[in-house]
Order: sequence, then structure tokens, then C-alpha cells
Amino acid sequence: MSFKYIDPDNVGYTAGDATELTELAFGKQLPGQEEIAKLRLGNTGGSDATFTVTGTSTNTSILDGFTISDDGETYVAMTTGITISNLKPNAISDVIYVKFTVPDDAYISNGTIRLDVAES
Amino acid sequence: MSYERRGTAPVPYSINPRALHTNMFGGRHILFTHPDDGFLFAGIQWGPEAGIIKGSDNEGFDWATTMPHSWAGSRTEITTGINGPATGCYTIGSYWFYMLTAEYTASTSSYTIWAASSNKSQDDGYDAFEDVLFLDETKSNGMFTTCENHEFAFFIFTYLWDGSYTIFLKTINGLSFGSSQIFSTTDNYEDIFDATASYEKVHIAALNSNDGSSAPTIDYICYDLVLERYNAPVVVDTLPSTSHYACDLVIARDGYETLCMVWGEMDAYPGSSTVAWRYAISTDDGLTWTVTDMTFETGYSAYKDAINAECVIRADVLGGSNGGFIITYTQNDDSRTGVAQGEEITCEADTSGSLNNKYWWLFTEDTSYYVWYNVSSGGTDPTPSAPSGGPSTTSGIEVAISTDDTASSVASATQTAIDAEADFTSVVSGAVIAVAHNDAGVVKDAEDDATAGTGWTDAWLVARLGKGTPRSFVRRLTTTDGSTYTLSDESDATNTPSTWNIAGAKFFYTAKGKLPNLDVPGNVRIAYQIEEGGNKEQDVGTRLYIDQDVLAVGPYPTAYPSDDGSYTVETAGADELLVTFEIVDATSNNIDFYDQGYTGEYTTSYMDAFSEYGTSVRILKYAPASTSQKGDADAYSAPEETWANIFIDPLSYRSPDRVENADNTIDYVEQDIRKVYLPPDLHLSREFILNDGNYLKRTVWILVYAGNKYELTQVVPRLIDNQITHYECNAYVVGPSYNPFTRVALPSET
Repeated sequence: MSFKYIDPDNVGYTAGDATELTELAFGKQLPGQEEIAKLRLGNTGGSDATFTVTGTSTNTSILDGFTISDDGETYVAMTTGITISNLKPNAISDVIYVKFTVPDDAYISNGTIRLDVAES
Repeated sequence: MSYERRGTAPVPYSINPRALHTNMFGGRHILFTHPDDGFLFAGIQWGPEAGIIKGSDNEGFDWATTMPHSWAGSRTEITTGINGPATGCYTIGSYWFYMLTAEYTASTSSYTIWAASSNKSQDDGYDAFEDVLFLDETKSNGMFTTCENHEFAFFIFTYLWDGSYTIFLKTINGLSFGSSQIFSTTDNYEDIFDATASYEKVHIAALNSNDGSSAPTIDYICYDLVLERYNAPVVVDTLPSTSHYACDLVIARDGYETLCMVWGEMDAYPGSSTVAWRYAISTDDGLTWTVTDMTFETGYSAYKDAINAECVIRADVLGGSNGGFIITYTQNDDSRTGVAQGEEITCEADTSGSLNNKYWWLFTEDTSYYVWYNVSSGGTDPTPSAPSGGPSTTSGIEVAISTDDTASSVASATQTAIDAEADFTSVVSGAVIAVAHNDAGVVKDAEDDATAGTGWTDAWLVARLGKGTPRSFVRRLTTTDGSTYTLSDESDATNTPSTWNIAGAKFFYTAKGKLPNLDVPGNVRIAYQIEEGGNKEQDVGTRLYIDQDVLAVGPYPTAYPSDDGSYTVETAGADELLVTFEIVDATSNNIDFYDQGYTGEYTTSYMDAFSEYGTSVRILKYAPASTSQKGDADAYSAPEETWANIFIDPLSYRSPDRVENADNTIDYVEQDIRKVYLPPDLHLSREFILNDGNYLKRTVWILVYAGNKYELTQVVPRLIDNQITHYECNAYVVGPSYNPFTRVALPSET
């Protein structure tokens, strides 16, 4: 499996040139607030590939606050995920949107979830 | 077992196993009240001959010295039986506090009600109590309850009149006991009843036995305070048969004026084998009722009164100002192994065959064992009949001893004989045999036979508990509209360790019919009985304990946002991308956004505007002192001074309104409320504490402006693109009608 998380603001000509994203940070948020973070996915392999992007976390109570979309309009649960089909070698996907709606009863705390990519 | 929370107990201990609940009676004859002045009062049965009132002027931290009152001697000579002593306490208006107790006169078999009153001065608490004769007619076989509304207290008493119970209601206002009304009826009301009052009505729940001719009914009776008459009784529920009976009947109203009754339905009386609790709701002022039948959840069974083993639920109910009710009841947790009954018998020596054919009794739930002595093979089985109160099935335990055996030898031989029975296990130490029952159960205590007994004089000590162990629970009936009520899951009523036996609980009632907001944990205070006590109304050898506490988050059955947890910061694995977040706080939690880094160009612009165009004012910060036991300005430390440039909206000022009072005096009620805008770096930090007097206090911010002082409150942060720009808040002028140091401000008020 060959892919690369890519900073959507620093896209190169190819997946190989693009700046790799090492972390997706939502920063400080208040309960009830909604924020969207973006990323792209690059195919660093030698053939067309289809990727599924999902989210997981040990912080199960907060995971429902995260949703993901491939068009910025229709969001699905992180556990459902989105599919990027037939991404050409060295190509970069369209923007992937991750939305975090902070529950009103969230803990006052730092935390993480993890994006995971599977190739099919 | 040791109990560590005696410091908040109204009394160090009680010797009456019905210290909070007089057997099957409902009602507030044993009452805990919470006047709105920081005082707490607790009416508790100390023993059968003593009702005791205790007061606390610091929300329950100390009970011993300030306002104790008890009746002793003939005034409380209520001996035994189910019509035991009753004690109530309540406030009248702002200054008078009454306590009640019933006096039983053995020669006439009648009751007289006595009251003790105390006047509360504004600053110095309550004066010493003075006894007054409250009910100057002796009534036989009665029980009372009390309730209050905003103006009056009501005393409701049932007594035997012409062969049946009659309900008697008396209105109390200040020092005067108002005219009494007698609810004359041909019905047959039992002394199992309760009442609650609203502005215009006294709502009474009562058990009508129907004289045994038909199944008993739970009745609702309304006394109209405007029309000064009773409405016709409404049957709330009809018990399944004439043998059924009800216990622990209580009633309450909530902020929607919905009524809720709770009672236990016994399968028989006397000799009940189970009880189920019921509740009924009426949303139309008592005209119609919806009854819900509750059954025990798996693993629970009926709690049995320690004295007469009748199945009871020890219920209480409290209504909420925002609608809904909270109910407490008690049942046995069968999953917890109860301590079986045990007895200690101190044997004495035989003297020339003095013990021959003498016997004493040892009981299980099914069998009355007579332990008889066969001295030097000269005895014969006495085959006695079971004594009163014991199971009718008898079985002999023969103890073979020799003439002139010592006490130790008698004890040793007795132990051997008792251990041959599967029901018991005993150990001997010298002359003392400790007999443990192998099965838990409520049984009659061991006793010497009345006619052919051993004559042993030492106490027959008993340590007893029933099947399983008692636990008291709470459940809420919640509503959002006053018409639909939903019952929550049950939760433990107390925060006590799981090994403690909680044998009943009662809510503290606020004075003058006020209702607490049940959605706020900590608003409800509950008293509870630890351990069951002995099997007598005054068992000096078996103590139980009364404790009290606020019904805090732990047992509170409402989902409540928690901020004491945290999330995990994980490590990304192969092919994973870590998504980080930081949840800082809620705007309602009054955080310092400027300090938290919610700043940017908008923040800078606003700060410049405040600096250039704002009005320079002095702001004082008063922090609450945790060690204070006061509820006023003394509960705060000296102020810290801050100067700031702020904006004040002049249009929100209104001149004081002229108010003409009924006595032709005139007040000028200040209406000076202004909208104030604070710069983004001026965060009005607040600290909420429960001080040592148990007063909820928060930091007070005072704005000094134009010769007046204003409290700054209801602060709302304003942010643009997650950048703090300013705070908006309301400024209330401080004056006689508005004291920021004494008013109650909940944490929800920012």
C-alpha cells in the first residue's frame, strides 16, 4: 500500500512533490463549536488504486463528533468512511473534509482520533 | 462496623428502629425541614418515649448544641404498638418554628398533641423553645402529619371517633392556631395518610379501610382553603382484596401542580409476606389518577420492619419546582448476604437438679425450638406449645447435663445439643453460648419460657438482621410539560459504602411549601437510617444511626454533563494520521478567552477602541471565603481593586419606581440595570464554593460608577472568528432590593 497524506495548501505537481501532512490539528474548540479540517491523499504507488479513509479512536465517546466528506457537503460517520476510487499513480485526490462538532457534554481535555487508510 | 460520618448526624445514634419511619405510616410526622435561612431541623424518634428535635444553624455540619429540644417524661409516654410516637417540625412565616409530638395517656388511652415554639430573630437564630398545648382535646389512637404553603402551616390529625378514624385539620398562622375543621365522614380512614399544600388547597392522601366490608381504597381528599370545605373523596386506587392493606402513603405536588402519591401495597395485614410499591399521578388537581404498579427488580425483595416484620417500603416523595418528583423507597438487596440472626445466652449452673425440665426458646422463621435440660436422665420432654409470636411448629432440643453442673458445663452441653440442629451453629465461651442462625431471616428473639423457664437473669442479647440487607433507593419522575411523567432507573439514595445497611430515607422539605429544582444535583437533602436496629421500639443494646447529606451527583439519577474526565492522546500507527483536538471549555463556564489565546486582529482592534473611547471605572472583586459559615457579605474577603476602560449603555437606566405599600408607606424600588461592555482582556473570573456554612457562594464583581455600586453579572463573551472581542454583562445597582452578597446565584448564571 503506497499513499501519502498531503497538506491541501501545499500541493505539488505530483504526489511525490507534495508536502506530506504529519498531523491534522483542530486546535482549541468550545463545546458546541464546529470546525472543518482538510487534507488530500496522494497515490505514491505505481498503479491505479482505490483507498478507503476511515477514523478510529480509543476515545469512543468523542468519535461520533467527527464526520468525513469527499465533497464538503455530505458527511458520513468516521467509522463508515469515504472511498477514493481509481486514483492514478502519483495523483493527488480532491480535498477530503473532516468535520468536528464538539458535543456539549464533552470533557475539557486534549485528545486525538486517528485517520486510517486502506487500499482495496 | 464503624461509621465515619457521625459529624453530620443530627443525633449520635438512635435506639428506635423506626427512627425515621413510624412503621407503616406515611406522612411527615417525622420530618426534616430546611427553612430558607441556612437552618436545618430534624425530628427523630429517639426511643419509644422520646421524640427529639435537633437543629443546625450551619447546614448540618453541627447539630448538637444550637437548638435541641426533646420531650421527656409523661409528655412522650407513648409506649408500644404501631401508634408510636410522632414528631414533626416546621416553620411559620420567617420567624416561628414549631415542633410537635404526641403524648399518650395510658389511663385514658388517648393522645394529646403538644407543640413547642421558638421565635427566630433575624441575626441570632432561634430562641429557646416553649411548650404549648397544641391540641387541647384528647383523641385516642391518632397520628398526625403536617404541611405548609406560602402562608400557613397545616396540621392534619386522624383519630378514632365513633369507631372509625376521622381526619382533623388545623390551620396555623404565626402564634395563633386557627379554627379547626373536622372532616366528618362515614368512611373509615386509617391513620395512614399524608398531606401537601398549595396556594389554595390542602391535598390529603388517606387509606380508607371501608370497614373491612370491601377492599381498602387509596383516597384523595381536597380541602379548599378559599371555600373552607372538603371536596368529596376521590378513589385513587382500590386494593386487590379486603385482606390487602397499604403502607407508607405519601403525597407531593410539583411546580406544575401535578400531584403524586406513593404507597406500598401489602398482600396482607397483619402477616404480610410481600409489598409492592405504587405511584399515582394526577394532572387535573386530583380529579383523575393514573396508577403505576411497580414490582421488585430481580434480586430484590420486600424490606421487613425490624419490629413486627411487616413488609414496608419506607417511602417518601418530593416535588420539584421545575416539574417532576423524586421518590425514595427501601427494599432488600438479596444479592448481599445478610447477617443471620444471632443470640448470646449466658447459662447458669444447675443446683440440685434445678434445671431439670426447664427450657428456653430459640426461633427460626418456621420453628420454635425449646432447649430443655435433662438433668441426670431424670427429665422428660416437656413438649410445650409455641409461645406467643413464635412459629406454631415446635421442636425440642434436649440438653443432657448432670446434677450441679457448672455454668460452663451447662453451656458446653447446650452448644453440643444446639449444633446438632442444622439451623444453628454455636460457639461457647465460658458460660456464654453465641448462637448463629445458619439462614438469614427475620425471627423472634430467643427468650426464656414464661412458666417453665430457666430463670437465668442475664440479658438475652440479640444481633439481628433480615434476609439480605436493606438499601434505600431514589427514582425520579421527570417531565417537560407537566402532563407526561417518565420514571427513571433506580439509584442508591446515599453515597455510603456498599456494605452499609440503609434502612429508609426521608427528604428534607423546604419551608413554606417551596420546592427545589430537582435538576440541580445538590438541591435535595436527604436523611437516612443506617442499620435496622433491634426488634423493639427501644432496644438499648442495638443502636442505629441517622445521617444526612445532600443528594449529590453520585446517587442523583439524572444524566449530568461531567467535566472531570479526559480524553486519551494516542500515537498514530502505520498508515494512520493523527487528528488532534483541544476542547478548552464552555462559554458558560466563564473562562478567560484572552488568556486562553483566543485572540487575533479583532481582539486588538477592540482593545484599542476600549482604550481610546471607554470610560475609566473602578471595579472591585470580592472572593468568597471557604472558611466562612455566613451567608451574607461576611462570607467574602476584602475586595481587590481593578481599573478598566469600559462602555456603559446609558439607555438601559430607569429611574426608581414609586411603589405604594398596603400600609400607605412608599418605597422607591430601584430599576437601575445597565448593559456594560468589558474589554477582551478583562475577564471576570468567578469561583463557586460551598463554604463551611454550606452556603453556595460565588465571586462578586462590583462596578463603582456615578456614585452607585453595581453588580456585574450574566457575563456573555463575544467572539469573532474564535477571537475574543469583548464581554457583555448586566449591571444591577446595589441597594436594599438587590444585595449581591446574599442572593443565591447558581453556577448557571455566568
